[in-house]
Formats: sequence, structure tokens, C-alpha cells
Amino acid sequence: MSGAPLVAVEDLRVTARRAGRTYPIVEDVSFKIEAGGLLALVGESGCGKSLTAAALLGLLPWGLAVDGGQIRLEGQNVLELTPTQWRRLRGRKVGAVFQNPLAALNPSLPIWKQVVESAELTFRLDRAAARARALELLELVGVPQAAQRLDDYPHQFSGGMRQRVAIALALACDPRLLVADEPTTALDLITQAEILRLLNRLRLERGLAVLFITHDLSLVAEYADQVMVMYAGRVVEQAEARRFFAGPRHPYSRALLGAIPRLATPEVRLTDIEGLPPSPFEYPPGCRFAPRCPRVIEPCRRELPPPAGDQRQRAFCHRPFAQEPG
Amino acid sequence: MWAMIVRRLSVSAISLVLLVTLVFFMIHATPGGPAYSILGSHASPQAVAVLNRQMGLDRPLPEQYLIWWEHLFEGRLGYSYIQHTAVSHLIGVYLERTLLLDLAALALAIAVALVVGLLQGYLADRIGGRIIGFLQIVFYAMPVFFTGILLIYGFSMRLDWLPPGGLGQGLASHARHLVLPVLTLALPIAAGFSRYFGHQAREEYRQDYVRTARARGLSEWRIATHHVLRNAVRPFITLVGMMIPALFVGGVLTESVFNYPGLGWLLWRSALDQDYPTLSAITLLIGVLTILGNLIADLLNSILDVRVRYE
Ligand SMILES: Nc1ncnc2c1ncn2[C@@H]1O[C@H](COP(=O)(O)OP(=O)(O)OP(=O)(O)O)[C@@H](O)[C@H]1O
Ligand SMILES: [Mg+2]
Repeated sequence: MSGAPLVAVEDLRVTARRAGRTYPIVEDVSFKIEAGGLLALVGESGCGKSLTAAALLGLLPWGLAVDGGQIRLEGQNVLELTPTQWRRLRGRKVGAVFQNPLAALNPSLPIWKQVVESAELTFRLDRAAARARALELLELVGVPQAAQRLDDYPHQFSGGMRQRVAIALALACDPRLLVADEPTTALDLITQAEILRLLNRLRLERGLAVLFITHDLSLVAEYADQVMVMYAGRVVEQAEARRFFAGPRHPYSRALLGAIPRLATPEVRLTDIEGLPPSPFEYPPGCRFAPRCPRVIEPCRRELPPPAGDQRQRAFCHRPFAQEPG
Repeated sequence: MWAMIVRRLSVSAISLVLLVTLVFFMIHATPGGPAYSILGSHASPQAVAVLNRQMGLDRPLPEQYLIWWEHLFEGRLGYSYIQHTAVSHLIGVYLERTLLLDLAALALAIAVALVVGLLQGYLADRIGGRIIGFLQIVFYAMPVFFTGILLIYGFSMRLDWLPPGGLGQGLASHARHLVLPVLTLALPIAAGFSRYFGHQAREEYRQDYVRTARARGLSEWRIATHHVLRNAVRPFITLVGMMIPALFVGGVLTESVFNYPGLGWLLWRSALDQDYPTLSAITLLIGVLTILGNLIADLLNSILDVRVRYE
């Protein structure tokens, strides 16, 4: 390793065009993930998690665009690439799995064909090599009796198995980074834990970097080594996982943690917080959490909060909680 | 799969029997009986009596019904007293021309629909997709007479590139004569097909597996041809099977606009001449082709999709 992080995002800004005006939807998002690292990106619905991931993949929906910042994959700023060059990196450097495993697979193709499709095209495998690779991938993600299941269709698999197959699809060309956008939200608790263990094993064994998006902090508490909390399109806190779980400093982070009984700190609970996150087309000036914040003070409504803390734990807040020793 | 095919075949067989029976009763229900419809309403009673005996029309109805079937199996479709030939011979000649026109138009419409539909599905609500949607409505609503005359005016009269109608001699000339009728017939069908298929394609483009495919770095071409097409084409095949009768109807109009002597033209003529044996034979034929079209579409579907259960 050259010491440079596998992926480095700096001041990412995603904007939407509506009625001739541009609205920022995601702003000032910066993070780094090392090989083998697992960054958990958390926040309520609509805070911009998926758009951050989509920007990283170069798959923003039509009408949205990256409007500033840098996305470096192994040192290369992908925003400078042509669409075709960037497409060639997808699958090879970055893979992705999404929320709904039931729909992520093409219903009318046997899974082995889907699993190796990208590898087949990239490395020009013949049929025998492709089947062998498919088997290898299915075994890697823990599909039992994989050899007998190569010719099965997606509907013959359970939800959890389909998510494993979807992970195999994403890994076909050996990407260095896996973007997992709420991959377990549609699954039951036991299956959620299994999928997480699988991702954890992959990063430990193969040095796969993982961007894990979720709105359930308890799910990632065990595995994440970094946590990034977003609210209304902005990062409100990012920290090493150990520090974060010892004591989040942003009131919103506390509220998120408070929703988990086992990790609750008594001060704030999400259920105590009135209201909903603002729409991207009507963000308030100053801190976006201010209208709902129980600790709001006068400058919160006027000025964007500066970062408080150090490299290891940073909260964007005018009145953060004190840092816990940890 | 085999059970399904057997079941599907028996449905077609039952439809066929119903069709043949229906046409039989249609003939017998004409005022004055079949003899009048065959000879014309001004026939003399003697001629009617002769014909009735000759054709066995004086026998009881169930017996006639059996004879009707027997004749069908032997390919005897009756005699046209107006054209003075056996109906089977007449139909043979005209059917070939019609099949050429209709199948060429069908193939063109399907090809256009697949390309335009995939593009439309990909573009969705973007400006290009909306323009395609608008054009589909315009072309779909354009009557065959209007399109035909417009094309004749443009390509035959103004530009003098193509013949305005009729039948050519020899292959090259025949092909040249077919261009405008095929275009005329294909245009509204292509518009309807592509609208339907475009809608299917658009639904497929919304599916997560398309996003998964993009996230794996597959090209849009690959996604369109190997993923979207495969899923969107199945309901489309059913539609194509169902549209076969409409194709014939469009063909009838097209043939009359271009003075193209095909089955539609024959149908038109025999309706004017009250040539009932020919009319009923054409009715039978169109019915049979419709049943066949639907059968082929369904069988094709079941081959494409192993999971389809016939229910
Ligand atoms: N195509 C689009 N055009 C305009 N705004 C969009 C578009 N897609 C998403 N948004 C807006 O961007 C914001 C962030 O969306 P995003 O999907 O990233 O949220 P999320 O954090 O992933 O939420 P969830 O937990 O529900 O998945 C939302 O408020 C959404 O309304
Ligand atoms: Mg999301």
C-alpha cells in the first residue's frame, strides 16, 4: 500500500436542477476509506445517503449532478474521466449492492450467467471458465451447495440468499471498494446479521473496503471502524467508531443512538425530537438541524456550524457535547 | 411444460371447431338459404332446386354439417359462381400476395417497435422520450387511406420513385410495388406496437436489476439487449399474436388503396358481388390464421419463459 487511501471523497456537492435553479442536495461531504476499512454512513430517510453513494458510483439519477469536489479512487479523480472510462471502472474498482435483493437480479436469467456476466465481458472468459468463476463466487459468498444451484433462477432463492448472490455479482471483477446501500434493510434480523458477518469477513480476508449505508446504528456498531452521520444533505458528525459509540458529540447523533436502548445515553432521544428533516428545496440557513435541536442557541440559526474536535472525532455543531474519554 | 403445451393446443382445437361451426351456421342463416346466397337473390327456383340437390342441401342439417367438415378436410371450399373458379384455387393465388404484404409489414413493424421501444424506455420522461410518445399517437391515429394517399402523392406523383399501386412483374418490380403498401400498413402498427413495447421497456428500466447491471459496468447496449429486451418482450409477443386480425383488416384497406390484388381485395370484391362461398372461405381462413397467431405467440412465450404456468 502506498499509504494513500483507497477512496477519498472531498467536499462532494450534488445538485438538482428544478425550474431553472440549482439546489444543493448533498454538500461538503468528505471521507476516506482505507483498504479493509468499513465506513458506516447513517442518517434518517432522505438525508442524502443514497445520493452520496450514487455519486461515488457515477450513477446519479437523471437531473442530478456532481457540482463540486473530488472523488479519488486509488488516487485518480474519477470526475475527470469520460462516461465510458468511468463505466469501465465500475465493477472492476467499485462494486455495489442495494436495498432490495428481490429486485436486484434479472428474473429471467439463471444466476450463474448474471454472477459472471461482468467478468465474462471484462476478461473474455469462455463458458467453462465462466461457470467455474461463478461457482467460486457463489461459494465465496456462502451459497450452500452452490454447484447444484448455478442454473437456478432468482425466484428459487430466499431473500437472504438473493442478497448473497447480489454480493457475488458485485464481486465478480474483484473490486477494491464495495458500496452497500442498506443491503439488509429488507431482510429479517438474523439474515441481516449474517450478511453483515459476510461483508466483515470479505474485508478482513480480502482487504475489501466497504461503504455501508444504513439507518440502523446498532447493526454496524460491532463492525464499523468509522462512522459518518448525515442530516439534510450535510455531514453532522464523523468519527472513529470507538470514539463515536463511547459518546457522540452532535445532538443529532445522540438522538440516533438514543433510539437504540442498549447504546442509549439519557440526554436526548430521537422520539423526543419534534418534526421532520427539511426538504432539500427548503434548507434553513445556519445549522439544518437547528429547528429540531433541543440544545439550539442563537448562532445555530444564522451560521453554518464549524467543526469541533479533532481528526478522530469531529462534530459540526455550535454547542457540541463534551468529548468522552475513549 | 408439455402439459401446458397440450392444454394450449386443445384450446386452439376447440376454437377451431367453434369457428368452423359458426361459419357453417352463418351460411345457412342467410335469407332464402345457402342456394340463394350462392346463386344470388334473383336466381330462378329451378336453378335453386338443382343446386340444392347437387350440394346436398336438401338433406337434414346434421348430415350437411358432417359433409361440410368432410369437404373442409379435402380442401374443397366450394365454387365461386361469380369468379367461375374453385374457391380454393382463388384463395391460393390471393393468399400468397397477402401473406407477402402482411408479413413484410408485420416484420417491419416489429423491428421498428423493438428499436423505438427500447429507446423510449431508456429515455423515459426526457424530451426525446416525450417526442417519441407524441409521434406514436400521431401515426397510430393516421388512417390507412390517408397515409397511403400521402405516400402515393409524395413518392409516386411528385418524386416518381415508386409505383403508386398494382402488382409488379418479376422479383425486383414486385418488391418495388410492395414498398409503399408495406410502409402504409406497417406505420400505424409500428406506432401501436412500439407504444406498448416502449411502456414495457420503461417499466423494466425502472427495475433494480438495471441499476445492478449499471453498477457492474455493463454498457447501455448490453443492458438493453440482454436484460431489458428479454423481460419486456414477453407481453409484447402476446400482443403481436393478438393483433393478427387487425393486421388483416389493415391489409384489406391497404390493398384497396393500392389496388393490390390480395386477399383483402378479394374480400372487398366478393362482399360487393355477394360472392358468399368466397366470403365464407376468407372468413374461415382469417379465423384460422388468428388462432394460429395466438398459438404461436403463446408457445413462443412458454419457451422463452420456463416459469410461465398456463393457468
Ligand atoms: N432524482 C431526484 N431529483 C431530485 N431530488 C432527489 C432525487 N432523488 C432524490 N432526491 C432527494 O434527495 C434527497 C436525498 O435522497 P437519498 O435517496 O440520498 O436519501 P437517503 O438518505 O438514501 O434516504 P433513504 O434512507 O430513504 O434511502 C431526498 O430528499 C430526495 O427527495
Ligand atoms: Mg437510500
